[in-house]
Amino acid sequence: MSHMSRARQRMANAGGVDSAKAAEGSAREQGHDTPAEPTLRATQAALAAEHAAVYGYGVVGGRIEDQRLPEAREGLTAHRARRDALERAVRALRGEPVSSAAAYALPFPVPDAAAAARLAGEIEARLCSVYADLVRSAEGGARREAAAALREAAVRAVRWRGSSVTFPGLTERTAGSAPSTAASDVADAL
Amino acid sequence: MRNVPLTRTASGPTGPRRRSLLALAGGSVGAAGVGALLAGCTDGAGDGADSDGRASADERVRSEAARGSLALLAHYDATITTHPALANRLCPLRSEVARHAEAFGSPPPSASASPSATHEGSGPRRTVEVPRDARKALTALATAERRTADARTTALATASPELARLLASVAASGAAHAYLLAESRT
Repeated sequence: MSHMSRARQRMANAGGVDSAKAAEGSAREQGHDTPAEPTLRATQAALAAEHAAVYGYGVVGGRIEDQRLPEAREGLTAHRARRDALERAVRALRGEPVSSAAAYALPFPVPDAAAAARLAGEIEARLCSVYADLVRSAEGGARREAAAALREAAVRAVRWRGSSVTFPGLTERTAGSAPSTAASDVADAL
Repeated sequence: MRNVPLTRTASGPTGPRRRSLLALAGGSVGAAGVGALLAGCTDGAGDGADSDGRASADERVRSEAARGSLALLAHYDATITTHPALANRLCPLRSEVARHAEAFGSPPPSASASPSATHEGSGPRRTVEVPRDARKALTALATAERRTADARTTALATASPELARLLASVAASGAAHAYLLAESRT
């Protein structure tokens, strides 16, 4: 998977499509009174996060030690499957699936295996958050799928990090992460 | 989680701009998500006529979930009493389970699992059979965590949105506990 890491270097300067705007656009097409709109938005958010996760696991695979490479591959496979399922879900909600960005800025440098494991844990923790929101927005089978995805992500996060979290995905309940912090994060990145 | 990992690089007419994954998740795509994040438990604004029925259904789900957490707490306590050597490993998980119970509205349980408080033969009343073999005891606890998580996963199907989100999170935490318990080497 190290070629994916090299690809990351090449892609780092390329501009990405702003798929968040695409998501907003397709949500708007549904009309603001459509009950499915929050579900569509949350599904698009989860899809965008899975795109980022697939990219991130490529980086992880390029840096992780051989011993944990199967774990990284397993994660990559799982996230590709979730991504594909979410694309289908968006279409079922009559939306246009958000596309993957050409590149994603990493939260921290990933020069070695330890940082790669940390990145994988971070990816999974963030997925917990979007899936928790999707559980809230969705109903029926979609809600069950989101809950299952949250559960899988939480277990993977623990595997990578070695320690657990009391409320995976519930940022407002996480100690040290006040809502104001989250709000400023949203405003703009890094 | 202080900084914003995995940001998307985006270029536009005003030049390169970075947008965070969180922004994708909660801001640009889902303004509703941010609102809920800021407002905490403000869910179901204007739910209307059936809100009473749903509220009492939610209450039942909530108290059932709290009972599940308390049963798990008892299981942790019994395990720690039988195997004091496991206390260091189990106490962090136990305290998370205690916080789950509180989140479901149960009064804060006493911290009865502190190793000093659990003398041989004078521990809390056992409601759980704990295997004498430490590894089997951990496996039994993992099984209990997983079963409780499964029950929550089932319950969230009919819960109101915000309660469903809490149940899903706590179920995920329980599944992670089960993983840690099953994986840990004694």
